[in-house]
Amino acid sequence: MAAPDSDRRRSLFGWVVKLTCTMTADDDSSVFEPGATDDEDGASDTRAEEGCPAPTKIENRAGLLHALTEAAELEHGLLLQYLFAALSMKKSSSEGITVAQAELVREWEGVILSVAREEMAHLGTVCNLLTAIGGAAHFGRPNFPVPSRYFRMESDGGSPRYVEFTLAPFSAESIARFVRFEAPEPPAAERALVEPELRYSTIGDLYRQIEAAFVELEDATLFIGPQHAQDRDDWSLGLRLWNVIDTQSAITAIRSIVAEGEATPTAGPASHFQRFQRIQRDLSDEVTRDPDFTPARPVVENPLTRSHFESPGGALIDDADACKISELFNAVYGTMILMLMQYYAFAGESEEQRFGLRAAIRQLMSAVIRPLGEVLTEIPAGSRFPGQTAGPSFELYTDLRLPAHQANAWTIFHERLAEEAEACARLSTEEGAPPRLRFLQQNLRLVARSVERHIRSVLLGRRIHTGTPTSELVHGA
Amino acid sequence: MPESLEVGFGGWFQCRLATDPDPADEPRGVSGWTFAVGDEPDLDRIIRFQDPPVHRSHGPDVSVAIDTIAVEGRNVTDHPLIGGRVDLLGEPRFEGRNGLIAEDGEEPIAPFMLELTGDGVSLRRHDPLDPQDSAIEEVDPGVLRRRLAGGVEGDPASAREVLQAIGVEDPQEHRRVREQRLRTEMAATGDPDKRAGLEKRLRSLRGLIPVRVSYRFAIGELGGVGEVLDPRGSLADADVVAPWSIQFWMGGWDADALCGFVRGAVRIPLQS
Repeated sequence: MAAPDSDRRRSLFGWVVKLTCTMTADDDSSVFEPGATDDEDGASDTRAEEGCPAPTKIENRAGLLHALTEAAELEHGLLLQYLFAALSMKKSSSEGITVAQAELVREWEGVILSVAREEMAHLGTVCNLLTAIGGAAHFGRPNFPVPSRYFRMESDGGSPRYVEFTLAPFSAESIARFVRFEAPEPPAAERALVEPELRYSTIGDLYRQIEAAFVELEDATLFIGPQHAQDRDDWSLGLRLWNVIDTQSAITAIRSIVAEGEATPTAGPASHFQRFQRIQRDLSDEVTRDPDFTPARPVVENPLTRSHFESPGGALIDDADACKISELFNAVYGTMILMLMQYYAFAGESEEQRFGLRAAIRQLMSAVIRPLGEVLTEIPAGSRFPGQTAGPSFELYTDLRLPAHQANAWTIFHERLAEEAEACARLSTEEGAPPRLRFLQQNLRLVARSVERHIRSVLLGRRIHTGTPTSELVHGA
Repeated sequence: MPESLEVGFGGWFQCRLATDPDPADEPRGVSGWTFAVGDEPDLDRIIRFQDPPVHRSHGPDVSVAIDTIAVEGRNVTDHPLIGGRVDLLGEPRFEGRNGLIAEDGEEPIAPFMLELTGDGVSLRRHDPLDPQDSAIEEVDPGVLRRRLAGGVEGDPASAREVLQAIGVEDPQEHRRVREQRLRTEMAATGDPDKRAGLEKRLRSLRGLIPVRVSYRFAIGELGGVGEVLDPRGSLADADVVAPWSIQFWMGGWDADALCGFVRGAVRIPLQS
């Protein structure tokens, strides 16, 4: 594949802009206006950057690992933005919408949540791709908002442009951004030492560069990862994760992600792009019928409990309850990420332990994180945001890392979950606490207990492996 | 073996619960296959054998009743409990919680306080989950096992028994008739809110599900005694200390009506 030059990039991006604008012609121009500083195509201009000219083509394992890491961050970031919008949506006619509108909103929420679940599967497949070529699963990401990191493109002036990642409640603007994320593109056409500076106009564009690199790099030396260390489970959610053992299976995995999610110009109605487009049309129709229709709660954009140096901006909430519940939410989210890292590390757990870990992660998602996120959208954000509510900020307060020893990891999972359950219990007894907290603290305790049940067998497994005397096993665990 | 009173019961119950992957406390139902529509109250997971607060049009009438009484295998047709009502008190729920407590088809019902009433007499008995009568999230999973259902039974024999109990020969035909009735109801209403609810029901309509889950345990095995209200003395010999064995199945799920059918029997030892 020839290295794309900036002219071709410009013309490619121009095509995407034209196509997407055409597709949303019935709507307003909000498709490309996610932020006040953005231009017409939703990409943020930044100052011209200077420095060494960086390679832009994926030419070796390091480059491919870098691109897949970017893809993992993209999928992770997308699914959180979809989740945030879904959790912001009104639930019933008691929130100032008609019964008929509540039905519409429910359908949209269901679609967005189902897309978010599919993004989880994409993230899993990307982790499999990383593992297949000797990398590690990647769950890190910067905090929101992220104005200039993803969808790096060249603009006419030569300055790089990006599409902002931002947590925003459901609205015409946010759904337009989702359509932009999933927009298709037309089918496409001296070896660097360092990782390339990735440039792509769509997610499909990034994956096609990754696919091309898989084709170009030599099969025999590329796939050095252990084949058993890939996730094959459907997570009891009907998710489809692809295993990668060679170039052909890598291509199949990549194309399935593109086809299912980011779509191709000929994609079917089940693609994320087309599903979001239908919501966009239906929303536009409803707003035409009822200009006062507001499908989401008044959730602040990019709520934060504190400033993060890498993510300037955001809305620092200051309501005491919102702060405490947000911190609890972020702690649980962090624990879940750690557990996902352990799950994808294939650190030696037995099938039963992996089943327990997977179940605990899934239960944290469904039975704690989602309802806790919804609870936040009903709590005032604070004095700086009159009339607005908080929301799930998905903040990572530190660079999460797993301990090297498996048993320590499980001990830490249990410790964190137990502390989070205790914190939730305390919050649930405070005056005026949201009623759902009581139920959620029970669920957290149950997850903690299920993890605790596995700790002993994890300890036993490790000590037997290292030759610890049986007598010490009996008294030590 | 001491003599016992065997009380057979059956009927439709209602349970307005959210289903996976919705969280168990999801109020309206979004991603699962159950939901609240229109101005119905939020989903609450409560199993109701009697007097549900909401009735979905074209759904079955909710009521679980005593239909047989036998003493040592001999039917008693004039017992005061015949035709009486069976109830589960204390807002019982299927406690699966997205697999946190039990997997699909194994969800225990908690609390479990059975009440049988008829013609001026009543019996009531609570089954504690453990000797300390702990809340379900505190109970040792090993101890809880006795209260779990045995998993989903969908084999042909089970399906036949379920369909026979609910009086449906062909689930597909039952679905077709329900769809027709919902469409007729929708055509007759100009109320946009009501139409929205009916449209949701039609979009999500599925046939009766002829599967079941079965429970079998002894009420009071881990503690507690029963209560008998018996001014006429017709139940004076009921043993309220010895455990009462109960077995029942719940199935024939009518997802559109949020109802299911229950059939079973409870055996109450009699003091000799």
